[in-house]
Amino acid sequence: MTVAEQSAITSLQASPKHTGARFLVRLARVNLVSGEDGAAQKYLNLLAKTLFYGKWARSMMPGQQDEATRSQLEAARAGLIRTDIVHQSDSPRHVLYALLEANPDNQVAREYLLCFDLMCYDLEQFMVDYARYPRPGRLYHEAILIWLSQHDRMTPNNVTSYGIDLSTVDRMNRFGRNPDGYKNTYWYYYLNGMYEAAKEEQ
Amino acid sequence: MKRGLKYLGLTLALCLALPGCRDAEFATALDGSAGPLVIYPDYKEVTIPANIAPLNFRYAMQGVRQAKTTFTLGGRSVTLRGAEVEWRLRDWKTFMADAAGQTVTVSAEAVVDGQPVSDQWSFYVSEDAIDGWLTYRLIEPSYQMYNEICIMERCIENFDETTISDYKHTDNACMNCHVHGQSRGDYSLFYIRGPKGGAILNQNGKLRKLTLNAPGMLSGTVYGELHPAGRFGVFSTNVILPSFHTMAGKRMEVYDSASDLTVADFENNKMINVPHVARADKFETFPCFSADGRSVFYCVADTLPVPQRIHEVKYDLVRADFDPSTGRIGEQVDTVWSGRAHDASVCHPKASPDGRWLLFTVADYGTFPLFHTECMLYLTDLQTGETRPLDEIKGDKSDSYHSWSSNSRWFVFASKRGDGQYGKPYFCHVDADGRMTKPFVLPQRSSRFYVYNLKSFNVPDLGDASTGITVRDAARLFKSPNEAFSQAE
Repeated sequence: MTVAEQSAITSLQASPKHTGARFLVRLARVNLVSGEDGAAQKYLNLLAKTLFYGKWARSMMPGQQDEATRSQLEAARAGLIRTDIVHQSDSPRHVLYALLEANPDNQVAREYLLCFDLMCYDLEQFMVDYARYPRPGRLYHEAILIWLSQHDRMTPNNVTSYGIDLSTVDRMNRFGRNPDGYKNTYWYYYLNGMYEAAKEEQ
Repeated sequence: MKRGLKYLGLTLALCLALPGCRDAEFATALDGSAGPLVIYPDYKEVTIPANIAPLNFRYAMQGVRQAKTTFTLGGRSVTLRGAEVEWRLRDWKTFMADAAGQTVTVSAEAVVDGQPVSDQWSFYVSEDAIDGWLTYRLIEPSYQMYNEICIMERCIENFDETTISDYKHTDNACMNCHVHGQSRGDYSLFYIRGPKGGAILNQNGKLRKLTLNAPGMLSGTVYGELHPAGRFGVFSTNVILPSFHTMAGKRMEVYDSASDLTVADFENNKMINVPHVARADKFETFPCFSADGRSVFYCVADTLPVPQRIHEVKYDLVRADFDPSTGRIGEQVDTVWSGRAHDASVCHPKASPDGRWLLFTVADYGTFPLFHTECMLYLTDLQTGETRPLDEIKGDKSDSYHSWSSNSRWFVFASKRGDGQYGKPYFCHVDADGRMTKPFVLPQRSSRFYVYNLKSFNVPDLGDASTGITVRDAARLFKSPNEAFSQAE
């Protein structure tokens, strides 16, 4: 929640006269979910006087929420992290694990975790995380195929065990012949990453 | 003309019809007063100095109509009408002219949701005046970024506010808070950061821009205080790291991965570094001088890996001798209050100018209590050595940075009580026996100021006179070269 609040405040700082209503809405939401009613009330008081967010703000005001709003907030609170970790925002893995521990159905946290591994080119960690939090998806399948080929395990049985269609393997072969034709694939991203890393080493 | 009037009428009609133009109170004012009529700011049953600006407030309730507020003092009465109780400065000053030592009673009547409601409260006007000037940094409570920071000076006897330094004249540089030496208006220091920045020292109105850094130091100076005699300043040097908490309701944690103490000699442009307050196995920080300038109080903790073990970092409050002729901090260290023994951590010690009291902040752990809701102020009687928590003034959120008035009868502190996000300056009276009164927030011209304000008041610091520093001075210094400091032999 702190990271969400931080990015809302940063956006507010960047908005004209530092008063963007959309960011105040975000701040109000964050504080309502966190149970910080005093801070939420401050933002809602400001929004209550605006044309487009006034009705919403009045409906969200602590003490004046209806049953549906209260259960919506309760549902959001149920997914919050229950263990305190002091972290720097550039290393989110432990935070994402904690989020998924609190709510394994948190699809956004799952996507962030898997994509964080992919962006770090860390396929070993990706395979560990994917085993715990599997999520079908083209990019993930492409990453799995790289890992399988790196470990000489590119057999039809292994490929299908991950729910990957064998036609994806053919596509990977075509990528090998013409990488520039497949710029929207993880293979292309990975290849470029490795190329840059090799250049830096030299 | 007729056409113009038509458009004006249409605009007014539209405005009245739109919910966005209604001015109504929707909140229940979580940090408002108790009683049948809730007021914000809460000025009920407070003690105030006679020289304070008008205590403007509003009735922070929904559906308040026909409000009438009568202030009575020694047979004289002043009645203000409306839900926003805002004094004319001249009327307030006339009313308060001989109020010192007396109690002002306030009777209020209003119609709330169609029902008549009345309330009565009072406030006591102390015979002890408060220093008339308050400096603070206005900053959005962001955790990693800043934009458009300024350091302000407010005359708290009225509503005059001037800018000491702002982003417009300093290439949007970061600037850190302004602190007075011994609450003197003509003796103070603040930092402008960045390549062209430096420590701006104000000595008897003469301004200098200093680079308080020398080879071998961890960093430039950070927290500190000026010596009463004017030659020295004691500072910490810190490697500061910000991090986030994952738990909802906890926000930011700032900690040092290393910190030492140093002394700046402003006469000889030397940094006096001694190894016993720059130990690798200790974090040393938040130094301040005793009133007589012969001791340094500071906080010290064992060095631990952070942030992994941040919850175990507990700072003790200690005292060491200070030699005002050489600027050296003594090797003998006495513990004033052990954080470790109390499973707590001490920050921001400040000695009262009369030498009687030492005020400091206590949190569960760490060195940054601004977002620690458990943190509160403690007071040590330096005559008896007794220390007590100031439970009677604790807010529901953090109470942190504080500063004494020159007569040692008032102090100001930054509190996030209420919204938990925006620090506001609160004033508290302390009598000769160390008894506190209910704190009150800095009065503003508009009773709705704190509703609309989206900036934190950072490091409020009291001064007995205006610093006289203007943005032009800050801009001139920003462009001028720094005075270098070197390591003392």
